[in-house]
Amino acid sequence: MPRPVELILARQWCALLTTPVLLFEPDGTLVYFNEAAAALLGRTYGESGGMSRPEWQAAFRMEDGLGETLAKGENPLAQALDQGVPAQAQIAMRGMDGQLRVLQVTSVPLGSLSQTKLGVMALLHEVR
Amino acid sequence: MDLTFYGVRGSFPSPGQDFVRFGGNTSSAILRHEGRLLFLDAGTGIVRAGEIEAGPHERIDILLTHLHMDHVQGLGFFGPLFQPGREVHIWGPPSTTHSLRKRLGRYLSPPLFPVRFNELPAKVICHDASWDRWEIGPFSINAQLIIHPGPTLGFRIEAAGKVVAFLPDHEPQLGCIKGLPEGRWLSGAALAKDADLLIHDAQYTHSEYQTRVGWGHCTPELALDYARKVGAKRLLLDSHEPTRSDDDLDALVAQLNSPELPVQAAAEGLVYKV
Repeated sequence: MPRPVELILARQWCALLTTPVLLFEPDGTLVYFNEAAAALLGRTYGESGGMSRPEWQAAFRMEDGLGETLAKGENPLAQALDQGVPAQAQIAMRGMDGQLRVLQVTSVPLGSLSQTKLGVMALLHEVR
Repeated sequence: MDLTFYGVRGSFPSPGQDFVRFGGNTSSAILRHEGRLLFLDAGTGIVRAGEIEAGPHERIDILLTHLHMDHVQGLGFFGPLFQPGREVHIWGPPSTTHSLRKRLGRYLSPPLFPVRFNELPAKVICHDASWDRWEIGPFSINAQLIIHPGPTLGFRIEAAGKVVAFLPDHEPQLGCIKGLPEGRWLSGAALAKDADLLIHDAQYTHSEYQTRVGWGHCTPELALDYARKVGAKRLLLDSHEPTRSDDDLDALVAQLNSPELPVQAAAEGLVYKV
């Protein structure tokens, strides 16, 4: 299936940003992340390619302050993907390079002209 | 299936002796198959297209890629709209806020135009183009949004096993850092894939484009690259810059090195067999 032009434009826009951004399709497939996000995920998009939801959940584990995997209700990505609501939280994430980072994650569900559910855009910010 | 252009200019009409061979009207073309017509866009060229092509009683279908003036300006002077008993169907891009009829009515109403939509003698039915394939007579049509300012459609039209892709205003290179992207990340690729005839925007030269990024248009070189990427069999460059003379267009096409993929600049009046 071809990707909708709204998602294509989002990717092209994100590729030019220094703000770390991830793009997900409605089923949770991670279809793109930019170079700024790659620095936090520990691998470039060119290296990892797109990832299904189980694949990215295994690749970069999201934890709470105690090192436990985040419950769905506390995971801003899951909230945006499953409930269609914007969500924001501070989490710890172990990247594909094995590094643990503290991140502010802001997830926004996207709707568009051609598709009610276009996907989710997630912005990351590292808390130092 | 065959196709005739009645307008090949972008932006605004360009009358004058320097524009005689390729023509000076804005976007308009007609596809014919099994006696049925499909009007593509309604720039100034559709006025003459209506005079020449529209039979006395038949239903007319017009596919609008978008509602910029160079694609709808001819509607107000399209003869069939003034014929009682005529049925005209207009298909265009959806909007989240207003119906196609209401948006077109901004032009077809005072002070921009003396006649209102509901005063036209013909029965005019406006449709939001479907995201699913639909049929008009022998034509099977797919529409998708493509990169151009405002909601803009490209069309893939199939009949008798042949495919025409119509993307007259398109900037697939917008925001691309390393040339056109591949496959699913290429705007309109599903519409143009393996098309027997691809009609694609080539309004600007490479140097003109440098100061017009984001204006929604392509260059001849990128249109050719696009055609290769989607596997098109033949490319017609369209939406010529209105200041581009016949000789300038000849030179632009001549510089494209494309032995494997025939390229021409679209010209008014010529019939292209598909």
